Amino acid sequence: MAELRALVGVKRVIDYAVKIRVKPDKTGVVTDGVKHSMNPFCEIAVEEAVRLKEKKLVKEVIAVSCGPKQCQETLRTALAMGADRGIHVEVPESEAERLGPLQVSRVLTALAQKEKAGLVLLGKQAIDDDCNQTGQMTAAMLDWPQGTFASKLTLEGDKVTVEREIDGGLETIRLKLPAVVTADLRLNEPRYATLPNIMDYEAARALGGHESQPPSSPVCGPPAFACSSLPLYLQLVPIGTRTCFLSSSNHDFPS
Amino acid sequence: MLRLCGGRLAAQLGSLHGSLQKPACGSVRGVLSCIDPSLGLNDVQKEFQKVAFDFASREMAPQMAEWDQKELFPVETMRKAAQLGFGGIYVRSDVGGSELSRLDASVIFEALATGCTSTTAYISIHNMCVWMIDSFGNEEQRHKFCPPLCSMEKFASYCLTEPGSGSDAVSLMTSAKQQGDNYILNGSKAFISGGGESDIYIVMCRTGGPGPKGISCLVVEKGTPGLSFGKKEKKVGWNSQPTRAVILEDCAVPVANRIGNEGQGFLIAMKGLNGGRINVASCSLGAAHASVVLARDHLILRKQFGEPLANNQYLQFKLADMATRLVASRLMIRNAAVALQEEREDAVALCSMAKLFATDECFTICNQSLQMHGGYGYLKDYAVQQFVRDSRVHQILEGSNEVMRMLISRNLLQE
Repeated sequence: MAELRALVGVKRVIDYAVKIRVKPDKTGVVTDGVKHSMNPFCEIAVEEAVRLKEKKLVKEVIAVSCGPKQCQETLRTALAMGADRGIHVEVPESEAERLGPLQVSRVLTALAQKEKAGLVLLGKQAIDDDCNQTGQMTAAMLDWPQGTFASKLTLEGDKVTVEREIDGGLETIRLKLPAVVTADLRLNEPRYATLPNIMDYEAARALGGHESQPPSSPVCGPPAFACSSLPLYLQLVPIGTRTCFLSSSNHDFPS
Repeated sequence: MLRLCGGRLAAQLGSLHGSLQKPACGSVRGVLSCIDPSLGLNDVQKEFQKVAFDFASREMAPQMAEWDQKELFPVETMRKAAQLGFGGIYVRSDVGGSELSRLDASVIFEALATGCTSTTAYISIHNMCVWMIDSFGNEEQRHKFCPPLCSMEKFASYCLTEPGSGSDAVSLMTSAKQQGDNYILNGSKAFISGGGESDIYIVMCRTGGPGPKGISCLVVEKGTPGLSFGKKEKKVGWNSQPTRAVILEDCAVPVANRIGNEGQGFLIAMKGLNGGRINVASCSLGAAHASVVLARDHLILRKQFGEPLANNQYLQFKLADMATRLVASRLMIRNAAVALQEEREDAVALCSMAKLFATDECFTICNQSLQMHGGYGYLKDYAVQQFVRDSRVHQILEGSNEVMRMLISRNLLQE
């Protein structure tokens, strides 16, 4: 069986069904009190990773989310879908607006190396900013091959065949692992979390001990294109493994 | 009435097309408002609710009109729901259930009912039946009947009502005379949801003398000689589930299929109904919630006299009343669910009150929402009329609202 670890990035965005309203000061859209959920393309990425695990081609699925503490809801959903571990890279609310693809790809790069992931699966783009940059940047920083807009993924040994949806039609490429793949709409149909899965995760959470882990040292240096010159210090907060629930010394999770 | 609008109707209809059969719960996931059903729930319950809402909007809402108009029993969709754990929500996990609480079940049924009230009501009846076997059956019966029911490989029906005994359920006459290892059943049951399609029938019958102590509970399997069904009834609503009479003519049922002891049947039936009442009230809640959301969307969209209906104070006040009664109903139901799961003394009365209040109020809410839609509300292209028709019967079955008043007054006057 493979020793392959899949790192899946998930983003918490405004729910796709919500009617967006622009803030009165025109600086953005209203996010307070608005329903958020996992980016649909990230759901597809998680689903693909879980399917690979079920086929025993991937050993462990690690979900990652960057942002304020509400990101843990999104990680919880990923865990209920079948991910093994969730890592919340906590960014304080005040800094969260400056968080963009460049910063996130730096985080994912560092995590992929730290967790020794062989496959990084992301959604092709987020439905709030439509940047379509994180996957590509991450691949460049890691110096790994990339298969973006994947509508089909086949893992064979140390190669992954990716069928991509491009302007001219479909393109099939073969990448040597480790690689970055971004999911497009037709890659799969994400599963619903089942009640037993949700309960399993919650039971594990209740039973598990609380281990303190001090915040790690800054994961990445100053973001190159940030408006402010303050470096973005990020705290790694691993949460919700299937066997135990870890929390950092600084944060109490809601029970 | 629609011809009055003349040529502008086409344009109006085009702009209103968006709300045609739009999954009502889609708008639910918008800005936090006072009627948000996730308020007051813990994180786990919010997760279940989310799954149930997603399932309702993707798998049920797009098809609810077709199921109603073609009278289709959506077996595949219900089996998908069962795969998520909705087949035996408060049944113990060793036989395939999800082992959740009554409150969790109420939250789930409320969410599913926004997708299709009639189908959810059937799923809740099925849940009640599995629970009865799980709670009162012996280990053999639990392991034989519950697993295929929890996965909805098999469907179950609850058979108490007879042509001659509705509210006066105790006076039921279906007889079960013991002959060796079997009971021989004779009689008929009326208005059985799932009748003819279900594989398992939980039949309350008379094994002893008159009165409640003479009633026992038997599991009759489809295909047993002597078990037959009447014609499929034509109903105003609940059309996604078949309703038939269940006829027993010298039907031999093994004594091993008796759930609980002889004479315990009525108790089992009534205990099942306490939860069943919360469930059916939760279905009303889902219908009413969807109707309020549809009404709200319509008021914002539709213009008359040069402005959106939403600017009209009468309609604003009416919407506020509907929302208030919706939340009041929800609180009554959730409170009763907690009382039931904690086995409190007042649980029976609270379940009756919740069923009475919520089914009446929620039907009115659906009806008022239809009125707000004007002529469009009366068209089958729009979902609101189906919520009205489907929720109407909740005031009648699982113990009519008149019987609920009997139970409540009995509790008060016995003191």
